[in-house]
Amino acid sequence: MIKLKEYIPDLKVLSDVEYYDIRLERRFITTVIYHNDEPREISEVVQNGGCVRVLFNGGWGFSSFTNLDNLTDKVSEAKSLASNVFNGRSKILSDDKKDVKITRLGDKNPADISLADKISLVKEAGNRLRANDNIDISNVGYSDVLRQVVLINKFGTLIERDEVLTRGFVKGISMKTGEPLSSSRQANCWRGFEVFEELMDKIPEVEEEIDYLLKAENAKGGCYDVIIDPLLSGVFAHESFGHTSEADFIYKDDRMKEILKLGRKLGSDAISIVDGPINSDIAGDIQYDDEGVKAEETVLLDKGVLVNHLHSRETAKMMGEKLTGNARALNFYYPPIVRMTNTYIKPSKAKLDELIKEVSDGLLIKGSQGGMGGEMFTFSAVLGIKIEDGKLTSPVKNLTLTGNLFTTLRNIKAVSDEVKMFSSWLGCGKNEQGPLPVGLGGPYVMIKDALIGGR
Amino acid sequence: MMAKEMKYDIFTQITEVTPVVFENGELKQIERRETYSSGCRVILNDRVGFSSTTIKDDKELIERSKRSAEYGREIIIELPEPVEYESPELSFKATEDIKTEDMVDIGVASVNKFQNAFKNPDVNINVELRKNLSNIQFMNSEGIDTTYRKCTTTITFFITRSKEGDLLWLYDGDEAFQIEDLKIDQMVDKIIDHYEKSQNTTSIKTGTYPVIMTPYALPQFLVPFTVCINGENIEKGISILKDKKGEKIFDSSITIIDDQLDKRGTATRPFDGEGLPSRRNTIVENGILKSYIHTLSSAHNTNDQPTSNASRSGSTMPSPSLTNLRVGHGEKSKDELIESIDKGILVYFLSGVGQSNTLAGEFQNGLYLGYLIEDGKIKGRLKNVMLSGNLFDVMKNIGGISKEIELVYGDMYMPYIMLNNVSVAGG
Repeated sequence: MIKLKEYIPDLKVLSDVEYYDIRLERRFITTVIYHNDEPREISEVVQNGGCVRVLFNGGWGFSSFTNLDNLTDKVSEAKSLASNVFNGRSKILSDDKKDVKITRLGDKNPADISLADKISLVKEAGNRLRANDNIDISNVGYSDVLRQVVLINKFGTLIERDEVLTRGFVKGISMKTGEPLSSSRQANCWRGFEVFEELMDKIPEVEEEIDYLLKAENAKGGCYDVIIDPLLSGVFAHESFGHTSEADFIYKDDRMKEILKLGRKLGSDAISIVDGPINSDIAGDIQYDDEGVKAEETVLLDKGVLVNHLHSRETAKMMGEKLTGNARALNFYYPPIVRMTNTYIKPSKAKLDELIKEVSDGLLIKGSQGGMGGEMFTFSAVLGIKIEDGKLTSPVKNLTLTGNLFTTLRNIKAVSDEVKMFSSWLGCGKNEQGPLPVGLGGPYVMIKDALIGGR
Repeated sequence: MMAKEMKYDIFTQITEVTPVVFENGELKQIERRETYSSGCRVILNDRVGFSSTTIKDDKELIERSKRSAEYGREIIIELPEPVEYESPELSFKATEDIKTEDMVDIGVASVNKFQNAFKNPDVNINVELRKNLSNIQFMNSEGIDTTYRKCTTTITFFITRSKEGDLLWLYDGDEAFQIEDLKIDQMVDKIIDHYEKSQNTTSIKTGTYPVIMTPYALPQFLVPFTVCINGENIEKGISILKDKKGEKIFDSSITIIDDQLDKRGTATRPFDGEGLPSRRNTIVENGILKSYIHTLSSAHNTNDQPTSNASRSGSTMPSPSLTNLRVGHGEKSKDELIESIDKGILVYFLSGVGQSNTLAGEFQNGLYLGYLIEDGKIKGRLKNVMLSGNLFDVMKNIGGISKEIELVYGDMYMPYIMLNNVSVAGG
């Protein structure tokens, strides 16, 4: 097979542009999804393509394609599209040339594992779930993406990737109460087949949660003091605060610049939020973004004070801030936009027990069934446990947490000492680009006066 | 050569999408995206396999599909034979001939319209226009070999007004076969109206109130319904609407139709992802569930009739999905509905859609944009409010449906529906 880098043509025509990058990609995706003992999808998909992005006279041109054979035309096309942007005012921040090879194929490269073996493990996960008397239905999914990427840019950077993203979910559904009650565990990592094997070890957690849900009564809506678990605190950090930190919503909006000005105290002293690599292989650990910028650890909120935004080359330049390495594209079809990587809340020294003791009438809320962020956020939890006079009492279900980002940041009273990180099958969606692999997490977080929707 | 017992279908899609992007009122970026993708489904010894590719004439496509068919699901279906397909015009020459310069002009005009209307400069105007050209080729082992071409234009607005402690972020968009059908003026007026109406924010106490779902909110509100009628969820036995065909699931004033051949709706196509001719499905008639939405296999496995609802792209397997959705109108005007409410909520956009237990019909949505109705009049914007309940309970208690119908998002015809009793958590 021809090396991707060899498709890159002569780029003389781009010698007078302010910036360009070219990204070529080959993907081979295997997906196995089972519902009970029945395969719902078994597929192998080839996705090859690339894109050229050009900044010329302040305007951006972007051309993407699945045919790698006429790149010379595509390079000219991207430049010509850029030249049609009249009065363009875009500028970008440059950085040093990088020459990097990223190889992440895991302990067990999925390319070396037969489709039959992948299927057999997915079936086994379903069988294990359904062996539990309370679980009537199992849904199990496995997918691996083997990809090669080459990225070059105007500064002479060359980043070559040879890596695999493996993801999975194990979900149990109980129909014992007449309404479907479900619990799942998910993983999404830049490693091999072992990601799914490790996910299977979490099946007992699914069983435990289903047991709990079967005993739960419906939550009553209202205003409570709540403690959210590491997964939900990660969802809050990502969906609500993280998306608001993305500078593409800020950099051309003078009012937003004022509202989200660095140095402003937005939250209580208890809350610090970070985005960036955590030196693992979790979904958001990308090392370099799709503009060839190194992904940095970016403290966004430090003891309630806003200290950084998340940037692309363009937003960093326009706001006079430093590069953070957050310009990411879902794949070759799309231009990079400002995205998160791994977003998490920092821990403190408090123990969870100590947090619980401080609540007289409230809820401990666990698990996530999805969320939507921004200034007003809404997250669906899996289950809750009532807290009465500082003690955990009975389980509740069907509850949703909603609120205003800025009020909630101020109402965070304490966080616990243990951070857990998560990555999900579906990752993050923004504009038309999803699911993008991201990581999120945090400690247990105590919020005063949170609005809970129940029945 | 194909083995005799092997059936197959191949869905190939060649697309050209041209986005023109305005950010904060300024032209920023022009794009051109070209893709080729081809998906091959093979049924070998009654087991299904699938593979897709972006490589033209990919020699291994069928081999990969056959390999996955070894392990695939048992699927006993007859693939359709050639028929004459009928369809409204999906690709107009005038639309195909639109140049990026034309789209730039329309973008500039829309931006100007906003800038003239908003006296206050704290509004951020983002506009994106697109031309979407798609060539579909479909062939199968029974002799179908056909194509169609579809060309639409889309416009999307993302308008933000940011004030300390009060962010108003509004999206709206439209898609049409002909650029002059894009309801640009109406969308601009609507957004400006929201801007005016939401200058004041107010609150509502926790309780049960009448709620009006506007045509914009209704598709979001109906998400649990669309999940529950999905033939694959019926087949899996996880939908609360399983075995409910012929039963009353909504108030008798509710009728819902999936019209795959609507002239204006952009979800129209001559045939579905399995080559079945497009049709008009009545899903709910006078409150009674008449039909689910099926692929060939979900129909077969539930002893049901096919509905031509297989949606498919060049890289995905057929799966059931709605096309142009039409919710039937009522007798009252929307103003009469609003005037009839002493205290309630007018809902424009919901957040958290599709999160809670949708298979059971549950909804728990934040109010992304909505207004307090008091004494029959619209008061300020409501924030920090959550609506919850079961769709199949609240849709049995309807206070009225508007006679006005609006086409929203290019393929949904929606009225205003007043729900008498919705549980509201406020503060």
